[in-house]
Amino acid sequence: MMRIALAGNPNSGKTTLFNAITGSIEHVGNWPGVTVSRKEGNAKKQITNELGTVRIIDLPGTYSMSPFTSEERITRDYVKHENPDVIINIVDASSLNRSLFFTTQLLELGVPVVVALNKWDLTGKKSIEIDTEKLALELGCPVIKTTAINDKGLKELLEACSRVKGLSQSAPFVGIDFDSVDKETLIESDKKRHVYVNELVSNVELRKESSDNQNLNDKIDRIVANKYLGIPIFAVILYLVFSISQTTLGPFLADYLVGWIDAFYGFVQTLIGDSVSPLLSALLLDGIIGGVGAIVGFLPLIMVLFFLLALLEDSGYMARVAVVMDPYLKKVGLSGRSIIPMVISTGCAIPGIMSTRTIRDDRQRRTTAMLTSFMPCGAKLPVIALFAGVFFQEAAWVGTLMYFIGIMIVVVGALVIRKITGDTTRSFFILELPEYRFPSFKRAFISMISQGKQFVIKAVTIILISNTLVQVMQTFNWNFQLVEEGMASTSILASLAGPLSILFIPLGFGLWQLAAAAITGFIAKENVVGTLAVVFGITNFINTEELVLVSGSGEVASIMGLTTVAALAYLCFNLFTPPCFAAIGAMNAELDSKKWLFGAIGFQLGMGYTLAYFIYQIGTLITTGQFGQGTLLGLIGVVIYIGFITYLIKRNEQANLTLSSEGA
Amino acid sequence: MTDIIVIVILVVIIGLAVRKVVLDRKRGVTCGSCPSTGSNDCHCD
Repeated sequence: MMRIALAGNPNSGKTTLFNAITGSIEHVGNWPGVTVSRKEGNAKKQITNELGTVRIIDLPGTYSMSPFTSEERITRDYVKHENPDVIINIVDASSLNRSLFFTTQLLELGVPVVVALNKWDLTGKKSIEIDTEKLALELGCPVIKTTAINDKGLKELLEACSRVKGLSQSAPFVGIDFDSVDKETLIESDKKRHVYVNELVSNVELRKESSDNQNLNDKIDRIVANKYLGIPIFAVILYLVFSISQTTLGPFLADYLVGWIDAFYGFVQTLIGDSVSPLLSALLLDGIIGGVGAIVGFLPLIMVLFFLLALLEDSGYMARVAVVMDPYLKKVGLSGRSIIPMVISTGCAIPGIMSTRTIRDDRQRRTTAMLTSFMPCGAKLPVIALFAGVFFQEAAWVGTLMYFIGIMIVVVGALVIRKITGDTTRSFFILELPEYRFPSFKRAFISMISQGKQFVIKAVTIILISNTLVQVMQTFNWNFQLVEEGMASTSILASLAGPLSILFIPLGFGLWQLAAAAITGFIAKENVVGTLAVVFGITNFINTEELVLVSGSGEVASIMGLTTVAALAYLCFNLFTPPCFAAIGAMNAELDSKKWLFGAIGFQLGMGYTLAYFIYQIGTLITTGQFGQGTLLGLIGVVIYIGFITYLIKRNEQANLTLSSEGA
Repeated sequence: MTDIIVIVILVVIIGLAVRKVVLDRKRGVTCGSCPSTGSNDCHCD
């Protein structure tokens, strides 16, 4: 078996090459920092031919072998200690100058290297000519032209690997061992390496600068990354994405799916007839088919949304969003670097939290890990879609608003953490902006299918188990006797959720059913919809005849007993309190401090409660002329929360004052 | 359809769901878009 490691600069196309060689569907993004841990897979048989088994290891992108961030460490440790047979160094052909610095370091390791001159298609578009034979001669290793997105050059690449396996190569530039020197010596050595690389590039590359091409990128950037226009443009794009996914194409497709689920429900209902005990019938029909069906019904909305987000990411636009947000985030102690985890979190908070490990500053990394789950993830989308559809005429603005509330909470949260920790360090953010390109429908489709598959798997596993438990707890009382009709409040579920629901009265949703749904949401956020379906006996929320998603439904609204304002408060509570347990586990790993973890959970709980309280109370005051229920009770909780945060800030300020007076 | 058949169906469905959750946790796979999906160093769970 041949073991090949893929190494290269961020955004050089390593994961795209990895997917093309192995046939995997790992997440790729048209910006740096998407891969933060190594991945392995076997090369496809049609590429390897007679080469036998070829194991491919995709390593995170890095600019050098110096161990400054965790992804650099992963790459460095792997190459230095696990002895791959060959290293494929993926080099961005359109950016030779920057990429070859790392190449020369790799060539010093004594492991055979093959250079994949990737994104070869861009050289033509940018009028760049590269003498690959001369480059191979200068570097002393094979250089193969590849275009990973079109699967070009893959066979030649693996054949070259097979040829160099076991051979020795001599390094064209020998620097110093960066393990044994201080930082200044290392910088000096790096300067010499840069000079060598510059000379090398000038010998092998001819650039006929295409000013038109550059200007087009610049022209677009001048508008979409503009200081004033950037955010409104982002808002409009997000609104369009939600319009298509949540109000037009998504529900149109969902109608069909829900129709099939309904037909299946009816079929099973007819099949079991009256001969089966009502308990078993309810478990199968309402608990499993109804509960899971209520969530699966939202699948088309989710898939359309992820397809559109993948197109945006692939086009290079999302990297611009990071640049646009950078000045604002810098003011609260974060940087545009924090945007990458947040965008990843719109899919799932877990990889979003994990990707914070690429942030070098410790406080900034922990703050981002703590706050990134405020961005609505895929699991929260059915909750948004349900409430937007049932309580609001225009679903699209509700979704967009939730994303912007998420961003606002991140900003406020970062400011609060900065004040509490007293760290005023300002960090710099340098992001290599990828070229704009026409997004690949194939990659967006793969991303959509991957997300959809995970959504369905989660629905038929965790959600199914949760719904069954909810159904059982709703059917029995503590003596394990069936709950009689009209006595639902004596069930196990009601007795558990009931006391907690008192706390939610000031937020406008004091019903035990709503409290139960919010609690099960901590297992997985989709459970909110599933539990609501089970406890209220609603088998689907997207019905073309009765419950048109976008036109609102008084029927469902009246069953839930919520006002529009209370529904918005309930939605915000579910979205902006702590994420699911799995995401909290990821937070625990990344924060690496129990103090930070419990602080984060407390902050998130308080934030969700306070936000829901103000939305319900002020919203009710505006719409009815008087405050809602439980104003005083809720106010006590909110004052305690805000008071505690103020105390922490004051305590830090006091400590700083003491320190400075001691210093004086 | 009798109660027994429905019970068997319920046990099979829930059993398969539990099995999948347990297996996924053992494999360390909890999320499709997770950058560590499939690798041994995933610590999502």
